[in-house]
Amino acid sequence: MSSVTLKKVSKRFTNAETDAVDQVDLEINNKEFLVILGPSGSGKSSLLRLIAGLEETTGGEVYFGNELVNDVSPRERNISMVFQNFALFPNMSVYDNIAFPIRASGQDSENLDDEVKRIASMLQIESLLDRKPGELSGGEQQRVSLGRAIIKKPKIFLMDEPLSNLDASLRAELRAEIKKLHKELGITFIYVTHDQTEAMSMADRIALIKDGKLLQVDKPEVIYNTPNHSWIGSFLGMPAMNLANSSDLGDSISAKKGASVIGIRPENITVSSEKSKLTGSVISIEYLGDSQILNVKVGKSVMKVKVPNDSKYSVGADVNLDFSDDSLRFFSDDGKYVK
Amino acid sequence: MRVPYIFLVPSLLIIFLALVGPVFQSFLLSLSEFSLVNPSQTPVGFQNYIGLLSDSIFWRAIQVTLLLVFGSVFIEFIVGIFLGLLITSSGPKARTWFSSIFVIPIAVAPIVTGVLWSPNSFFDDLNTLLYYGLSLGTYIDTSKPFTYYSIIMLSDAWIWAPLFMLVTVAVIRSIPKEQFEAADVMGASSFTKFQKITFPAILASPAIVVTLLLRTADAFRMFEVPYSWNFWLGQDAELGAPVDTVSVLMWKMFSSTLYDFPIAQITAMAILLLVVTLTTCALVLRRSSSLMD
Amino acid sequence: MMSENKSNKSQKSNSRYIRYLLLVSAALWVLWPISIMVEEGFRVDIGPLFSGRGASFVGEFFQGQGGIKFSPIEYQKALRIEAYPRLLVNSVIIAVSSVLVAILAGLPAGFTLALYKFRGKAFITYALLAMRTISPFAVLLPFFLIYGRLGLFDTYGGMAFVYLIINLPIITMMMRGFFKDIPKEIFEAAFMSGASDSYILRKVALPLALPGLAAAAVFAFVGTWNEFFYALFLTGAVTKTVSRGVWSGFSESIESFKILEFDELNAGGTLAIIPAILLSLAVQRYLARGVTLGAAE
Repeated sequence: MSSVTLKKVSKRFTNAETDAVDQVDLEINNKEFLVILGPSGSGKSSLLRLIAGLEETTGGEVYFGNELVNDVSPRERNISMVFQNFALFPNMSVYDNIAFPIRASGQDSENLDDEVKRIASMLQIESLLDRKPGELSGGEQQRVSLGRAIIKKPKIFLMDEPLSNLDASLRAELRAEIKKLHKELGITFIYVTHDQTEAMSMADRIALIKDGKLLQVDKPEVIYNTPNHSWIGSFLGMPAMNLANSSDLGDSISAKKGASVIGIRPENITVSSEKSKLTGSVISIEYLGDSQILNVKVGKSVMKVKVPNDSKYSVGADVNLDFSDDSLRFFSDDGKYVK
Repeated sequence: MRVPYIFLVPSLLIIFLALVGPVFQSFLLSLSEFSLVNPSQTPVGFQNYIGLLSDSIFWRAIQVTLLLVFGSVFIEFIVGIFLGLLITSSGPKARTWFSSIFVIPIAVAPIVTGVLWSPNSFFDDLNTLLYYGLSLGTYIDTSKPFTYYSIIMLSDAWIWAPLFMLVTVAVIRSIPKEQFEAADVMGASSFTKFQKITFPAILASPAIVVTLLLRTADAFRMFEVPYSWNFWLGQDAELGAPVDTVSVLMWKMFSSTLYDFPIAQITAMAILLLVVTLTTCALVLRRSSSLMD
Repeated sequence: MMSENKSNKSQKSNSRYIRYLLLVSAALWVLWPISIMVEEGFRVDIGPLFSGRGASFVGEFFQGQGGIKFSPIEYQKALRIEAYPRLLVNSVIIAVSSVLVAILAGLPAGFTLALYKFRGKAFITYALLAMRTISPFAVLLPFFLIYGRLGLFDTYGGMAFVYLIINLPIITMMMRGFFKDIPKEIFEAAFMSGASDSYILRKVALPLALPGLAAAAVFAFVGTWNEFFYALFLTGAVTKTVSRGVWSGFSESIESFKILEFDELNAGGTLAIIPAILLSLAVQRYLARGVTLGAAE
């Protein structure tokens, strides 16, 4: 069993005033691809390092399957980890890097050579086996570190921003490959990132974390569509969810009881020719290539509206905004989702 | 993470055998009556310390030590910062060559420094030049206390100013370049930049503070240079001569044990000096930003 | 505009000249005493250039009769096989064995201090700092007594052990610094791979910090080579080191303490500092780390 269960896990670093990880309850299923998503400084890496055992918890329990692993050293947790800066051994060849975990745990066998070569070909680095990490590109280095992580057949695979040091095109390529790897290995993946595209495209489920607190854990589409906190709405999506005080929008929209903030995604708003729910004037236009974003001033709020890239609007023009009531999301004063 | 305590065992063993044990024994010895001629120890409590504190020779040694410690450290601090500024404002080539030259004294054995700066070598030539060469009819009399105290301080600064230079250079390098660029944009002169950016950064740097502390602690045990001066001045026989630092005083008492000098008192003196060392080290540990992370 | 530019330029070149003047005078301040020592070792004394005789202005003290006639005799005397070379062998045996022991003990300790947080870490760091800074008098008497009892006085083993006081803090703390310089994720990746600490130390940490280890060993060697105090009290006819020999004469027996000729002292001093300077220049990048045990970083 390689599920992971966190029960009220906390971490406070020495001399820190607040918890880096604050009472996190989280269940990660066997063979799941879970992405921990959050802005920088949110405690997502600390959370991963607690799961890895690289940091000691200051509260709560970590279970692998049914086994409490708080006091199990990272060496014995049967997990692998990939780091943002690759963390390859610069003094060893690619071959030795990949073979390291097997040799280090004294399981050196005749199969080692075959195994290293099989993994290298799986990651398309067979031609690099004799090189030193310093001679490789970032993408190649990260492939090597993936190889080093999978050779010992871990139960759980941890990744700490593995693509953040790579440039955009490589990132897209490796994203697909990591997803493929997850399928082939059939083990639990826990992946930390601040990049929502990575999270959306790879995750079975996303765990959103902010200020050390776990806000929501769910499938990407659920988190995107029904964020349980207004902050999530404003964090996810490009551009993010429009959030407005219901009083600013007039009485054309009836807010639910207890809700004071109304959220709606820019792509759920259409510009209509007839008089509709809201009227406003275009104050600026951002051209994004595949679409355009209109910034429309409605009352005291500015709403972002996503329109097709061939639409013709001009700054200053008055527009009518329409949307279906289903696409509205309501939040209370403190940001909580109101059903 | 499981700490491999076994990795610490050999070092701890050495720490206890070579440091903690001997220091502890020294402390016990300082509480007893004892001499090499008559090695049986009789406990006398703090008698040795009381004897010491009421001995004018000891106080004389303390005065000399304090003078030399603060004088030397002050000079090497100033000279070192100056050298550091000089080095960082030079081109890359000059920087490499001159900093290699400047660090040479750190490698010179302190006892050799005593020889280097001895009256016969440096001042012999200088005096001949002044007296005969330039016919000034005057010379630097190295047997005058003011002269030799200054020279001893200068020779200590000669060794250790380069250390402050190295630390200063490191501190200046760690100042973000943007600060200087911003100052350039605002049209600041190089003096303004020094006054507003470089100098405050040097003074505020924990590295400089820690170096000052360590050098002060080191200067308290200064031995070789005053020892050799003691010799040049021909006063090695008497106690309480004007170049007797605490260390030299202890050495004199130690090397005169055959005449049954109070050896336990030497140990008492060493323990008092140890208090200075341990306090300074505690300050270093507290102030250093890099030792305990 | 033009004239302003010009004056700016000349100001700039002026400040450049001043800088070079300062650099050269600072270099003179460093090198002059050394060069006088080297030349006096050759019995060259610039005094007679002016007067035909050396000036004696240092109290009553006897002055070497210098001349401007170059004579290598003091160096030749010092380099006789029973003089400097014999002491050099002593110094090397003592320093190398002491540094080796310090490496065996200090390398794993430095590794642990660099990578782990644990109770007692402050104590060990503090003890090493104190060991580096302690006045030799605070431990001398016990060493004196115990060495007398165990017959370690004037032995290589005894000297190598005493010099652990210098070498252990240097090796441990410098290595701690070099291990700290390695990105910690590299060690974490090794931990996660299931490697034991000793495997990580041997296969990962040590190969990456090898240049650092060489620098630390050289720095420790120079510290031991230059050490005078313990040598003064604990060496004898057998293990006398170079730095002690500078003062008491390279070829003199310990017992017959005689006042050395000044030229002899200078020749000895020159020979003593040459290896130390060459070695230190090789590790000059790490001098500050060595002297302050990494506290000033």
